[in-house]
Parts: sequence; C-alpha cells; structure tokens
Amino acid sequence: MAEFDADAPEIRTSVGVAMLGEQVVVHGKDLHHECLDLGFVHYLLFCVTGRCLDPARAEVLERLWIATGYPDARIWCNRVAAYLGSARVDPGLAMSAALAASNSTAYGFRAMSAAYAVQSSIPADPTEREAWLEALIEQRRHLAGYGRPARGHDERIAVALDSLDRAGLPAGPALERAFWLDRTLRARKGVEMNIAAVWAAMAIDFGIERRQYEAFMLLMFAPGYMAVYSEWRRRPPFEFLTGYQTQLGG
Amino acid sequence: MSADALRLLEAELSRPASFDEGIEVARNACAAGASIAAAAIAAAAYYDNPLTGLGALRELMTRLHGVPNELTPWRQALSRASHPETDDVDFTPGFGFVTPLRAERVLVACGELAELAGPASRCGFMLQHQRSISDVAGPLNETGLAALAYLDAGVDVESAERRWLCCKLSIGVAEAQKARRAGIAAFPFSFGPYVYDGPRPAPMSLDRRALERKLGLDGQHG
Repeated sequence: MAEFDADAPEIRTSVGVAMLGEQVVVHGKDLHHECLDLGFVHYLLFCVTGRCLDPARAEVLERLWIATGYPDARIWCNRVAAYLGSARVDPGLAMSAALAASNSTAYGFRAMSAAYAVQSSIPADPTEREAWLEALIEQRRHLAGYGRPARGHDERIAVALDSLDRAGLPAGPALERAFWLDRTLRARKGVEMNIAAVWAAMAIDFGIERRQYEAFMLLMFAPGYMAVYSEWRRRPPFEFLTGYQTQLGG
Repeated sequence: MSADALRLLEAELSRPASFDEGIEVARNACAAGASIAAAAIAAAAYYDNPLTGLGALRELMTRLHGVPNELTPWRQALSRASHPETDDVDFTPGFGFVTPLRAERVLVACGELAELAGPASRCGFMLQHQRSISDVAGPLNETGLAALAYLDAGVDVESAERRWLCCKLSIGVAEAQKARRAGIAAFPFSFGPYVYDGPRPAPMSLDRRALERKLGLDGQHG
C-alpha cells in the first residue's frame, strides 16, 4: 500500500473504517466480533442503514430474498447471465451485467422503487385514501406494485405472508394499506398486487427508508443470476441460444 | 488507405448478418426498460469474453505481431491449444466459434480488406492461405478479421481494443434501444420450449387467503 500522503484530500465518514491487520469497525460495531451472527442479508441491511433489526424481522427479510432467487434462464436478467456464462465471461462482470439489466422499469429495481413510492404515499386515513385513489384513477396513473405483466397471481405473496406469520409478526399498517389497495383495485379494475407492493410495504413497516430500500434490495435476484450463469459456464462454449436474434424491426 | 480499411471493417461489424450473441445480450439488458447504460455494461461484459472477445483480439494481434507473412511461422503462431484461463480445448484466438455461413462471409470481408491493404497485407496473406491456416486454427471469425485489419492498418493493440469495443458497443446499444421500445412483450417469458430435466418435488401450496385472514389483511378487521 502507498505511503500516507498528508496532502491527499480528506475523507470524513461515520460508516466505518478498515484498520488493516487490526480491526474493522462498521457503524460503531466491531465487524469480526459483533456482526458475524447477523447473517448476510441482515449485515447488508445494517451496512446500508446503520440499524439492526430484531431477529424475527431479519428472518423475514432473509426469507423474502430467498423466495425470489429464480434460476430460470427465460427471465430477462437471468438470460443475460446465461449468455455471459456460456461465453466464459468472468462472473464479476456477468453479475454486474445482470444487475444492470435488473435496473429496469417494467420489473426489477426501478419498478420496486416506484412501488415503494406508491406504498409510502397511501394515506393512513380511510377517507383520504379513497380520495387519493380516485385522483390517481382519474389521472390514469399506473400504480407500480399492482398488475403483473407475467400471467397469473404472484406466488411470492403467500410466501411473504407465511414468513411474517412464522416469525410471529403481525401485519403492519403499511401492509394493511397495501392489501386494501389490492382489494380495491381487484374489485374496480381486475388488477392484482404483485410482490413489489408487499416488499415495499413490509420495508416501510420495518422502518427502511426508500433510498435505503433501493440500496439494500439489490442482491436479492443474485442467486438466480448465478445459478443460470454457472450452468451455462459448465456447458460447451456459446451453447446458450446459439445464433438466436430477437426480431425487433426498425 | 488505413482509414478506409477501418471504415470498411466497422461497416462489416455493423451488418445485421454479423450480429452475434453480444448484441442479443444488449437487447435483453434493456428488454424490461433499463437505461442503455445497462446495455453498454452487459455488452461490454460479453465482449470481454476470452474466446471471441477482447482477450482473443489482443492475443491474436500479439501472436502475429512481427511474424513474417510465411506459412510456417503463421501456422506455428496459430496452432490450437487449451485456453489458459477457461480450459476450453482447441482454442486459437480469432478463429473458431463461428458458423460455416458466417465464416464464409468473414472471408469475403477479408478479401475486401485485402484489396484495400494490398496482397502483402495480413488480410491478403490470410485469404491466400486460408485453407492451410484453417487446418491448424479453424475458420477465421470476426474478431480474427478485426485483429488482422488492425495489424494491417498499423493500429496498436490498446487502440485496437478501444476501437473494436466502442464499435461493438455502439451497435449493441442501438439494438438495445430498439428492444426497449419494443418492450418485454418482444421477449416473451415463455420463450420457446423450455425443458427442465432435473428432479421435481411434489408441489406444495400455501393458502394465501387463509394467511390474509390470519394476519388481518382481508379487510374484515375494520
């Protein structure tokens, strides 16, 4: 490592410090002595927020993450990973590419962030809530977190509710509002909620802010990317959809 | 002369018939509405692949740099071996991993480049001895064609990497924009036949409505 340079610009932070060979401190905790029992998902949340959750809520988040690691190469971001595994691209670049592809508006991170915005804007007061929804319907606004472009209902919702139930946790007020909106939209528009609404509502109930949520949720699809990447990395090179070109017109 | 050859090479790489899986990767990256930055990242990752990407371009240029246009040294430089990083067998950078149809087209393009660069060029030599060379190395692919064109044009390896990647990214990003406009419907989830041939456990179901009732989410609890 280079010598200390007193003229270099200062970096002032309260997140943490790595005193190499000595100690690593994260948000005031000793990484190697106070954080190892958190579990990876909880530790990531701690890094993002500086806050630890109780074990029950941490377990719910862990289960939400596992429940969406889908190893199916038909999913667009996984397909990117499959191509890159097949071409022997280094896994770090493949992961970056799949993550970047997931930063999308129809599904993925931007859709999830938009769903958080919807959930956090639902008024607590029932009368205000009705007026809020009327206004949105009148403006023909898309409500992120409701409607699923893929067919059928979202199978992850029951899993999320079961995780909450297993952890002995009650539904929080944001989750109650999310389901109110689901019932109302189903009745009025035939539109069902998708998991992005549930994730966002749970995050709000767990005290995770929107920007924290955006930074925290990023790796939840990674098991799916890497399952697909690894399979196609094991096979002969360039075997994934060899020669296939999507026909898009001009 | 060099500028003309480089323009011709880039036109060749931009032909739809030359589109490879890297272009498809870029399209997929934007299929669900991501920024073209995602396409650039995904395509850049693809074109970093060691078999037909930047590694192969660099390696072929390095191997042929300083090799005279004589068959024996070319054949020695291009003999196939296991790839040192990926362990894929029978690898020569710039050769192989190409369909017969595209290999034919690559040779046509090699001829067009040779006309510009002259018979003493790398492209000219390749074309003249393509049968003998492909015996040891396999068919010339588009990355190999680019490497020969860059050597003929006197482009150094680092500049060649930059030019080649920028050219590929430009094509990929343009296709990704089309994909983004077309939307996810152009990439249907039920994408052709999909066969899962691993074991399958008995499906288990959760009663969502019962869970909603239990958690007070069914609208019956005030």
